[in-house]
Amino acid sequence: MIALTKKFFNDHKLGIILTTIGLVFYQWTLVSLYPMMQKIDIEALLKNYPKAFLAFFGGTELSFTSLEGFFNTEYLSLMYMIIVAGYLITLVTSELTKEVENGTLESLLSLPVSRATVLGYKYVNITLLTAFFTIIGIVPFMLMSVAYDFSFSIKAFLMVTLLTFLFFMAIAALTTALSVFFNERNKPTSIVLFILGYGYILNSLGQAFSKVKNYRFLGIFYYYSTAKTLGHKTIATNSYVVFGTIIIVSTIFAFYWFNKRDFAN
Amino acid sequence: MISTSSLTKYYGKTRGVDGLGLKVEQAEIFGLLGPNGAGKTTTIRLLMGLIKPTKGSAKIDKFDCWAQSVEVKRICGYIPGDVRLYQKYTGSQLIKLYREVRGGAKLADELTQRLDYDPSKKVKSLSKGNRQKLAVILALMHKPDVLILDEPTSGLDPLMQQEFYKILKEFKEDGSTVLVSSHFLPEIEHICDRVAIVKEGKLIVIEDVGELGGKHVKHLEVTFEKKPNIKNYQLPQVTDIKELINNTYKMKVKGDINPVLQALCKDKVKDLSFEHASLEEIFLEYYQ
Ligand SMILES: Nc1ncnc2c1ncn2[C@@H]1O[C@H](COP(=O)(O)OP(=O)(O)OP(=O)(O)O)[C@@H](O)[C@H]1O
Ligand SMILES: [Mg+2]
Repeated sequence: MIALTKKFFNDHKLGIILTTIGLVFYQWTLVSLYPMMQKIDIEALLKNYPKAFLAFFGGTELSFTSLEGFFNTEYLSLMYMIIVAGYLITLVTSELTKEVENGTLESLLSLPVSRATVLGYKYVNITLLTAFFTIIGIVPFMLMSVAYDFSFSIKAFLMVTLLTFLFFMAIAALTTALSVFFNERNKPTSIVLFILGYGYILNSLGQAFSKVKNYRFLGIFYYYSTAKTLGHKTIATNSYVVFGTIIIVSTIFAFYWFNKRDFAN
Repeated sequence: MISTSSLTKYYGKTRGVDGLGLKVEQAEIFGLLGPNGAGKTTTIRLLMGLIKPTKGSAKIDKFDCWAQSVEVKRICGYIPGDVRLYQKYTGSQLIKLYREVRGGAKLADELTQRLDYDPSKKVKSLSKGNRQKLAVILALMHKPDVLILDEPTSGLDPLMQQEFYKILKEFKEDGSTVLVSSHFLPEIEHICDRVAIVKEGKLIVIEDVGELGGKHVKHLEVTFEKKPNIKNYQLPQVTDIKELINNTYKMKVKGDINPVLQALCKDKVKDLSFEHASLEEIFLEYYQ
């Protein structure tokens, strides 16, 4: 059965390698830029902007000149999230719907493996990959920062790594459930992108405008508050609850549906 | 070895099969014959646990095809009606993958050789026939006890078809049970012991193939050197005779053809051809 795991990583080799190179290079650039950024009096510069505007782009939780704040605004809260979430959505939908669309799942399921095993292997591989992208997306920056002797809290970074893993896992699990249900790429992709996009806008507006503030909890980004976690070095309980629930419910549903549905394409 | 009872599958409102009851004995080659849309593929997918019966059940050996599909698949080899394999893989990579997942591939090399198949090419560059050969190898290489084959010879050239039939006969001699679907009667007659005729999702009849051959009509087209004595051909087996053009006759023969052949010997024949009855005619036969 190792064969299926080998196949998974073989099939996605190129994407994994390119994304990894991209992420590490990005972090390396950030580490080399940071000393320069420290020299500019950004705080003074930022004072000229309206508070709402600043809140919209990244919040006011953290000082921009701290390593945590810099890492969060320049990378974690947007670029990194887009790259990894985008890649995960593409990978999960392709892994779960392409085989149905192409009919290759019928051949795979004619082997003496249960449906739960087939989905289980895919699911474990997706989880491994999610963990890998979380670690490769944050830890190199941490290590380089240690090497450069920047002052920062390791605990803050470790907590944000865990939060990020939960967030990406929630996306991956939700995409898995939707892919198993719809058997085609477009619907799961657009639903998840909608949830992310609408959540992002709602959260940003909520930070800027007090009217919207009370509705922020309706968007997923309220629970993926990297600034808060980096600042307080803890993960809010409701983040555990929300991401945990999404992961568990999606996973149970995906297995339930995959086990009972017809494969007749 | 294989049995179904009131096996029914509806895709929403579309009928797949309806109340199918079959029993296939061990070491038997059993045919499933029916026109397009009859429900052959549906039946086979039900047997392989790919779809869930709406009603009824199917069993292979002592295992339920839906609830115990893993056990079922362990003793089966399956060729899907529409062969679709991982495009980026070569034949040998797929053989390796299947061997690792399933265990056992003792016949892989022998089958590759006998079917004259080149396993070094990627699936996406294979012709239809060669893809079919690969599907045959993947389904048969672990020497399964039960073969479930959905139109297995589609795309194979006549030479390869013959080789494939030979392989099936060998499997049967070794005690394997074969269920094979087709909409081509001569193929079924050639390889099967018994056949179930299905139409519109329903079982019409199960026949020994030997009897089937005697029952159904054949069309005979014969050109004589000179006008024959038509009276000689007014036999009980000849149900219809008419002259197409000068000295060329078309006869409908039902049952034993030997009396007709004997009659033909008395005339000088220039050309002779046989044509098997179409499926439609066979069905008409059973409807009457
Ligand atoms: N996945 C599906 N969804 C909906 N209807 C289906 C599906 N598969 C088959 N059907 C319907 O079930 C009926 C039986 O189809 P099936 O494929 O079993 O026929 P078949 O005997 O294999 O035909 P063929 O000789 O063309 O392969 C058809 O009316 C078909 O339209
Ligand atoms: Mg079919």
